[in-house]
Amino acid sequence: MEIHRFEKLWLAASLVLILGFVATVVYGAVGAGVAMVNDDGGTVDPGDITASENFREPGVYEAGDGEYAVYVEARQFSFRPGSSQPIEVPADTRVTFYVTSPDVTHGFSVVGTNINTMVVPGQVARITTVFEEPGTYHIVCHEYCGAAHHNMQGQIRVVDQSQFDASATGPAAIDDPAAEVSD
Amino acid sequence: MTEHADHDHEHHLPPKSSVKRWLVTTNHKDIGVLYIITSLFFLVAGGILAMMIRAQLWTPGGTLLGGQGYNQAVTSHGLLMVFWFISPFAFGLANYLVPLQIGADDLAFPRLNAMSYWVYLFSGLLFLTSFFLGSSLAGGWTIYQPLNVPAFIPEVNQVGSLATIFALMLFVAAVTMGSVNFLTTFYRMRAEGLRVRDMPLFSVSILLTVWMMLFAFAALLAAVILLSFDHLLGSVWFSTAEGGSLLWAHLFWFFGHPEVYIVFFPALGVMAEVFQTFSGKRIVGRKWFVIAMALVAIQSFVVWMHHMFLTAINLPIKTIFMATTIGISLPFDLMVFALIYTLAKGKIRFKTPFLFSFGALLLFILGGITGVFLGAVVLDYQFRGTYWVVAHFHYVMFGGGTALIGGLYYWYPKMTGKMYDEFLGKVHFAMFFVGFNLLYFPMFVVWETPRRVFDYAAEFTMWHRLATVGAFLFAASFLVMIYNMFKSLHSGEEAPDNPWEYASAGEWAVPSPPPLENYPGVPSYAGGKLSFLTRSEAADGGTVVEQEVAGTEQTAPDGGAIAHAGAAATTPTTDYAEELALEDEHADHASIWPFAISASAFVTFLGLSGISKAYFIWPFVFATGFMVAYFGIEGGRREGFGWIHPVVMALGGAIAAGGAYLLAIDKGGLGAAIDGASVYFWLTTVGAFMGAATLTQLGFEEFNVPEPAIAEQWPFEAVSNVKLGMWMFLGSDVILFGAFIGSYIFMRVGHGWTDWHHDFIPEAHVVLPGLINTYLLLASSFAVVLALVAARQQNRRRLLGYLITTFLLGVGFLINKAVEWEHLFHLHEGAFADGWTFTTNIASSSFYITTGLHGAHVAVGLLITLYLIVRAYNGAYLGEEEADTIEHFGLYWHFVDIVWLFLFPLFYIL
Repeated sequence: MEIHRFEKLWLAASLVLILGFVATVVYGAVGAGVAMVNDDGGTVDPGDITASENFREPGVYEAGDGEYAVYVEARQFSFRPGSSQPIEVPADTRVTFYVTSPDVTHGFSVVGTNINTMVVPGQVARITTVFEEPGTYHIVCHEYCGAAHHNMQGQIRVVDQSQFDASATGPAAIDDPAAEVSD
Repeated sequence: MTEHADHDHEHHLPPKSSVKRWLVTTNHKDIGVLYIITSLFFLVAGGILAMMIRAQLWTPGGTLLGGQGYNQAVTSHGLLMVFWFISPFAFGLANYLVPLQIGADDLAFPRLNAMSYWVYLFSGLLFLTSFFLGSSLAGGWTIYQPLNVPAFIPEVNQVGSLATIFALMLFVAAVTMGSVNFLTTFYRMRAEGLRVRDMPLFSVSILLTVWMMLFAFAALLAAVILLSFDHLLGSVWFSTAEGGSLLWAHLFWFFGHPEVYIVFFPALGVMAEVFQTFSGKRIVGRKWFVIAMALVAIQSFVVWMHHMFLTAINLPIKTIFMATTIGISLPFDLMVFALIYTLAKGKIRFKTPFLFSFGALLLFILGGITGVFLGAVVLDYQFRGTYWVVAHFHYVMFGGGTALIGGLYYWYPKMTGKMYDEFLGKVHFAMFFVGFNLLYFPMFVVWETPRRVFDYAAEFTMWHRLATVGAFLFAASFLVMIYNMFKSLHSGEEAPDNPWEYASAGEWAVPSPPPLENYPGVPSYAGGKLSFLTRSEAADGGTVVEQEVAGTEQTAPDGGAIAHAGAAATTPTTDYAEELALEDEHADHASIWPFAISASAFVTFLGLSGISKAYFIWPFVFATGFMVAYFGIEGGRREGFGWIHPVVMALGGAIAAGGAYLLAIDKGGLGAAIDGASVYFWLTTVGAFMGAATLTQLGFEEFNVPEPAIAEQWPFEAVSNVKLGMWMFLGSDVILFGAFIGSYIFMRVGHGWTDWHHDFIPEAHVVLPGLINTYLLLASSFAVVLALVAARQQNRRRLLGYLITTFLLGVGFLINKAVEWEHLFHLHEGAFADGWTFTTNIASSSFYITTGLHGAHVAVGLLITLYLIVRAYNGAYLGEEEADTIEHFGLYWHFVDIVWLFLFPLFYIL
């Protein structure tokens, strides 16, 4: 069968495009190492999120060997923890974020990473990740949430494990017995 | 020209130089022009907001607008551009061209068409007014919940926010009227021999667009109605913890994704037409092109959840929606290839319309490919909420806009009779295309900029400044266009019938601009190409007489495909002779009432934006009383007085007086009631009275629209225009009620189907009132059927009797409902010590608002029944044909009845 030169070019170009696309998807799913937001985060009563065991005292908790759970309350117009004091987590560990909102829909996006979710009132968004590089990451709310929406920002400080263990000024007691962490 | 002016004059239509002409015209060409000018006005409004946004972004964290101001600017920019500019711009072209392309002398319902336009204009004015009522909506064009319910909107901004929501509601009403009108036109008024698939591609694209509009906008209407009641009466649809937020997202995006194609399809149609003309080639794979478009139109309704990938919907569902989303790009690939191949085969002439259309194709390719990435769930974690999305949808949406501007240049000579200035057109394109890419491409480069905030990393500053410069260049290019259009109108070259070689669609076969009646005879494609039947010759025995059509080389609508159409076409026979005689009957082209009704709607909704909950219903009670009395007055004045007229007047007076009495009791005296009324109450009342008067006038106005004598009407040969229009309207109403019922089920499942009853519903909410109402409605439907029979048998007394029976049964339904509601409102039982009202919980909100929407349908039906009674008294509707009006009303009434058969079990039994 005679295939015109243009058609060959088209085919080649489309194949490159498709391969590139598949590669990006695969990288996004595997390489970036972020578990996707699913429906297993559960729900809380947005009218009173502190009634939920996990959000009574939002903060960073050790969830197992080298695993950490971070409970974050996103409300107009701050992340708790995150805004007034940075979220401090150790590098190279599995960190799972549980984020919920007591008022309106917020965004929880960590700039420069794949951590990105909507925070719908009443729903708990759950994302797991590993920070390989120590440093400071910025959290922004990218859903409109009111007049001071643009001020709703926060920080994550990723430090070495040793430094993390040494730091006594963490946002919450690491071994809080009340922490009921389920995975 | 003078000849046309005289011709217009015959139809009581003032000349184009008079302002009055533009207020009363119902002609599709005039209205098309009005649409185009108005939409360009909103382009300027949205564009100024865009300039403000870009100015704020000159430095990271700019301070030009402040937080609330910036949110408001972004929200309004989005809403104005998507709703008030791009679609109406396309429908300006469609209004002008579709009848010309399919061989109709106007749309099926010219007054309804005028009404669509005026409601659209006034909805936009209401939107702009909202800026001056505290603040327009500032929660994003997607209006996510619960941010946009009153609990989260500062007190001072609430009136403006509600005005914005009402503006959207009015806009949707305009769109629905337009969709019904266009669909009826497409299916009932094509020239003889013109099959749907053989229509010019612009018309095909509009047909598919209006199908999508009919259903998608009904879902938006449902969402907006629910939201407005959350504002107006404090119902709790979207502030409900379990699912209120997701409910909005589902409803909005069920509309929102088809909306993307609603915006883009007309642009595809323009591209196809312009590419064919300026390459001199028929589009490659025309059949497949049309099939691909139809596929997209259907598939567009099953991709909406890709807008919700970052909510906690479970992954399998997200994966399915990822597949449908990425799959929808395949038909688009086909269309893009067909367009490119058409160019490759043809010999291209680089005129302004072509440059814009070709530019649009390039922009769309980039916008489309970047969109496929967004369809993948995993990539959404990277891209969502960034400028990647902003850049993507501007490339797609304004890519479409680019083609439409090409369309404006393409048809400018047809609409004005003057050629535009080619040099200035090219200057416009150069500035436009460079500005466009300078504006949006940097957004891809610094895509990590977070969306919806005006802060970004300092190292992105250079790129954002580039974008701002591009934005101003882009905006300036439109000044060149506007200058060109004005200048050419005064001093442009005279345009011939067909200035474009190879352009072959029907509009090029008539003078530029076309005369009021469009065609020099009865257009026909029966011979395989466009010809005009003269009336006498058709009457002589139905021979098809072909005339040379000046200025067109190919006369088939689309350059060839029509050759197959001959077999399917009807050949004129002697039967037409009589019908053709009807063609000569006088057609009306002027009515002031569409304008007046729309102005009333504007005043009413402006008032409703600020009215207090306690006063909400009264303006409508009084206006209903007034309207009923006015039926009696106008009916008697126009058609002669009889016993029915004083009775109807007294009934109207009784409604108004009863309303005043109840209001006085409620507020502790009439004086107190008047003192407590705000200016918004009076505005609403004035608007409602104006509405009542103008609607009545519209009803009584003699307005003659002859149906075409010879037309291709597959598959609706046996259905009259009005009946088909009614069915189309009911189709969209099905979606409206479907969305209401779906929302109820969604919320109930979210809470727990069986707990719902236990947690939310008082003991006093019993089945009996609903059961009684079911019987009442069923009986009333039966009475309408008997009324129809009586009308066909020309029995005036029985017709009146059955109509009055229908009316009384309907009134019984409403009274029974009022008693039931009154009882539930004032409960003092256990958990519901303060009554079971709109605000109590989601079950009460859904019960009152869903059955209330149904009740409103009943009330409208009753007003129509009263109108019919007044007319029937004087002998209207008697006879086989005349009874059609009763039949059309019956369709509506039975539909309302059937809806109740769904509501009754859902809200009373289950």
